[in-house]
Amino acid sequence: MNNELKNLFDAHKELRVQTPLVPLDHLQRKIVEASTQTNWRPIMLAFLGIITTAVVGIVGLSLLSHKDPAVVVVPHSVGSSSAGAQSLSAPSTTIESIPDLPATTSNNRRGDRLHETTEPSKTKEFDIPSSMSGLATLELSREEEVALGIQRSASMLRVPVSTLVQINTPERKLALASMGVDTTRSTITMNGFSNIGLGSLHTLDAGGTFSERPTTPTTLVVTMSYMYTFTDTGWAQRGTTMGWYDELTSFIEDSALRKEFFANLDDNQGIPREEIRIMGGVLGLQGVIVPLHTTIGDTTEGLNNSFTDVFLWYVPNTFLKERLSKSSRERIDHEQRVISQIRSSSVSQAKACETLEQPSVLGICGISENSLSTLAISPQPVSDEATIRFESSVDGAADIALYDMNGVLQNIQIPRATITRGMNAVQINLRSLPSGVYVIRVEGAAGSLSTRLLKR
Amino acid sequence: MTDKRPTYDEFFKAYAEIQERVERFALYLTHRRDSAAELVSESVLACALRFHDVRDSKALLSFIFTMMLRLHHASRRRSQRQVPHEPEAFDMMIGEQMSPDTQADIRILNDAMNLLPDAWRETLILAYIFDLPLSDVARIRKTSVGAVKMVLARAKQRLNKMLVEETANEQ
Repeated sequence: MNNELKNLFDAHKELRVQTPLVPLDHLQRKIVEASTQTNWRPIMLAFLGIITTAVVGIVGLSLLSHKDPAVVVVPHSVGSSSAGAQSLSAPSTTIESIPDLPATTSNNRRGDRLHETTEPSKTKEFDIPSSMSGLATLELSREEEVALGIQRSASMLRVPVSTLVQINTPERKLALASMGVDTTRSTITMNGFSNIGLGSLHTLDAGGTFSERPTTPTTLVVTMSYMYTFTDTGWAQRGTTMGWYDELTSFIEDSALRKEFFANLDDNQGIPREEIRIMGGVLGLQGVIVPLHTTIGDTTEGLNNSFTDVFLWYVPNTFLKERLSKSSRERIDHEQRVISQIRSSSVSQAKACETLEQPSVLGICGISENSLSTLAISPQPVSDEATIRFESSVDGAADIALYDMNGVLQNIQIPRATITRGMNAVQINLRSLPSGVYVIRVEGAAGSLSTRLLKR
Repeated sequence: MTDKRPTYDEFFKAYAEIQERVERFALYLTHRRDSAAELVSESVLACALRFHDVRDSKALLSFIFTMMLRLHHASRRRSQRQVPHEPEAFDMMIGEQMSPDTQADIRILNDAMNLLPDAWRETLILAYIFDLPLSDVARIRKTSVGAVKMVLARAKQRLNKMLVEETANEQ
C-alpha cells in the first residue's frame, strides 16, 4: 500500500465513537428480560420436527421403496373428529392418469429424504378480487401447480407458502434475529415451504426468505388442500383447492369461517362431498389402506397454532406395520385376518364384528347402514365367466365397471344389475377380455367397492 | 431449587472491551445512527444467546462482526429503497481534539470508500481500519484468504486512482 493511502487508513484508526450508541446496561436489561422468558418457538419447532421426522421415517421408507398407492390427505371438518372413519362415505370411480414430473431425490436441512420434482418457476399471477373477504378458492391444473412452485411426488407435497409473523415477544425477536432477520419491524412475512404428505404435520420450513409485509392482502397467506384417492390400480388426483385469505389469525379464530372454508372446498371443486371423503370401512374391508387420525396446523405462530383434524391414509403393508406400535400392529394384523375370513365366507361380518375391539382400525364394522360390502370374485383366475358376489344394505341398481391396471376403462358390456338387500351375485362374461390383471368396481346407491380380477 | 438461567456476565465482560469497535463498525456499515443502534442491538442479542459457541472471548469481535454483516445484508436485501446516508453518523466518530487536517483526510478516504462496491468497502474496513487478520476477514466475509487479498489489491488500486483524480481536479 502506498504511503498516502496508508496514512489515510491510519487516520481512520483514530476514530472513536464518542458516545455509545447502545448503552451496556440497556443491552443487559434486554437480554436478561429475554432469557427469563421461555422461548417456546424453538421448543415447539423441535418437538414438531421430531414428530414429523418420525412419521416421515415410518411412512416415507415404505412409500419410497414401494410403488403402492401412498397417502391420501382428507381435510376433515373441524369439530367433527369424533365422527371418525365410520361416517365417511365411499369414493367415486373416476380415475385420472397423472403424468409424473421429472423427479430428483434430495435431503432437506433436517436430513429427511425428499423425493421432489425439479425446481419450477415460482411466479404465477392470478386474478384475485381485491375486495375479497373471507376466502376464494382456486382450482389448479398441473401446469399451474408447477408455475406456483408446488412440487409433488407420490409421497410429498412441497408448497411455497407465506405467513405473517408478529415480532411481538422478546424471545421471538431473538429467535428471528439469530436467523438473520431484520427485527426492527413489528411484522414480517415469512416465506417458506410447507411440506405436506409424508408427515402428519403441516410445517413451514424455517429456511425460507423473509420480506416486508406486502401491501396487497391477497398475497399474504395461502392454504392448500389436496385430496387424493387411490384404488388398486394406483392413485388418482381428486382435486386441488387453494384458499386465499387475508389474515391467518382471523381465519383460525373464526370457527364459522373455517367451517365454511371446508364446506366450500367440496362444492368449489364441483365434486360432491361423498366423493372426496373416503369410507374407511369399505376400504378397510379390502385391506387397502389404514386411516390414521392426525392433525395438521401451522407452527409459525408459536403457541397460537391452529390444527385441523385430518385423516392420513396409508397402505398397511409390512413396512408400515413394522414401524407402528406393537398394539396397533397386532390390531391391524388381527383385523386383516378377520377380513380374509369374511372374504372366504368362513365367518359373517356381523359375527366377526362381535370379536373386534371397537372402533376397528380398518373400520370393518363402521360401515353405515347404506353400504356395499364383501366383494368377492369367483373363480380366480377367471376364464370366461365370473361371478361377482357382494352384500348390499339397500335395494337398488349397481353399475359394474372394469379397469385395467393403468386405470383405463375396458369396453366390456356389463348390464346394470338390480341388487337387493343382502348378498347378491352377478354373472359377467369376460370372454373377450385379454389375459391380465384388472380391477372390477361395483357402484350402487349404497356405495362402491373394487377388487382385483385375474383373467386367464 | 437452583436458578439455571444464564447470567451473561462473562459475555458482557468480554463485550465491554470491544463495544466501541462494534459500534464503530455498525456506523461504517449503515451510515445512520438509528440503523447502527438497531444493528448493534440485534447483533449483540443474537451473539449473547450463542456465546457458548465462541471458542474464546478474543474471538468475540470476529463473531459479532460476522453476525452484524449477516444482519446488515439481510436488512439491505429486504429494503426496496436506498436509505440515504446521515452525515452526522460519521461525525459521531470524530473527536473534538482531532486536527482539521486529519479530519479532512478521514473524510476524503471515507467519501472514496463509499464509492466502492459494498463487498470491497467492508473488506477494506475489516482489514485496514480494524486490523483483523486476513483469515478472520475471510471467515467473516465467507470467502477465501486469496479472494480477500485480491479484493484488497483491487480496492487499493481503485482508491489510488480516485484519489489521484481528485487531486488533479483540485489542482
